[in-house]
Amino acid sequence: MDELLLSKIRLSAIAELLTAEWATFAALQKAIGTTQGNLGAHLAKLVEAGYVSEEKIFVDRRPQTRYRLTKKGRAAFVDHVREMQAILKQGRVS
Amino acid sequence: MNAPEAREQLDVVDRVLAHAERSIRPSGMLFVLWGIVAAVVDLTFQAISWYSTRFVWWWFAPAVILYAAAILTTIVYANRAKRCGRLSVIEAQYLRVLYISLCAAGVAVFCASIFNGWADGAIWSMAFGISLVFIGIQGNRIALAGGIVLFASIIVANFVPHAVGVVLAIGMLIGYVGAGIAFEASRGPIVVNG
Repeated sequence: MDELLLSKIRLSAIAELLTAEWATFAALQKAIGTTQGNLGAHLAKLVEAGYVSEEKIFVDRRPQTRYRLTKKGRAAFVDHVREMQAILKQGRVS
Repeated sequence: MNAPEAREQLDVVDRVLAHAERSIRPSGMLFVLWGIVAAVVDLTFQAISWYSTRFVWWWFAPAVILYAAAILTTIVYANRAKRCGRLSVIEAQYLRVLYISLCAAGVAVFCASIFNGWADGAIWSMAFGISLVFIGIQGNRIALAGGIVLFASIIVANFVPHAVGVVLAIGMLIGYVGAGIAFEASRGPIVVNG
């Protein structure tokens, strides 16, 4: 089981990035509904693990931080969901 | 972890994906715009073939103006997408394919002489070129190189009117067949379990 994805905020961030080419910090914050500091800390962990890549660019002379899901992050998410489904199935059987 | 906790985790994923599903629909505006541009270009050529025996440049004016407006609108749309907080996978893929198609259409216009007599061969090269470049921009250098070779063969063929078929065939062999051989070579042996 992927300990990193047990956090609801980190799992939500990965799920949000699953269907996005990229998303800004502000868009992720709006979608997940958490504080700036909290999300920043969770995203830093995902970036450190290589699940998410971070790029800082300027749009209309304003700094913008974009996040993308990496192949490693996508694979980890798929494995995690699969494991959750297996646990749920086992729970139903027993 | 127990079953209720796993259920909770899956509910989080379901909630996020259900919301994302609503936001991945691409804008229909560009489809409408480019569809109208293509239809006007087709109708212009049809009108010229029916009613005119000589080249009249101003017949193309509406098509050229619409084409320029469509390119401008596409650039504005792409820039607006960059400013918003999120670009969906579908929007990004659509923009990539649109850019490649526009480049391909540019090659087709530039190579108008080939497309009169060698339309079938050139369209094959064009279509295969688009498919390879599309794979190429996802990060595959072999496909990108193959696509560029195919587009280049169409341009070169334009300057070799006595051997158009030969040039297109060489482009197809190097660009498409060559890319296929390179893909196979990079795959490695297939291991069958059991």
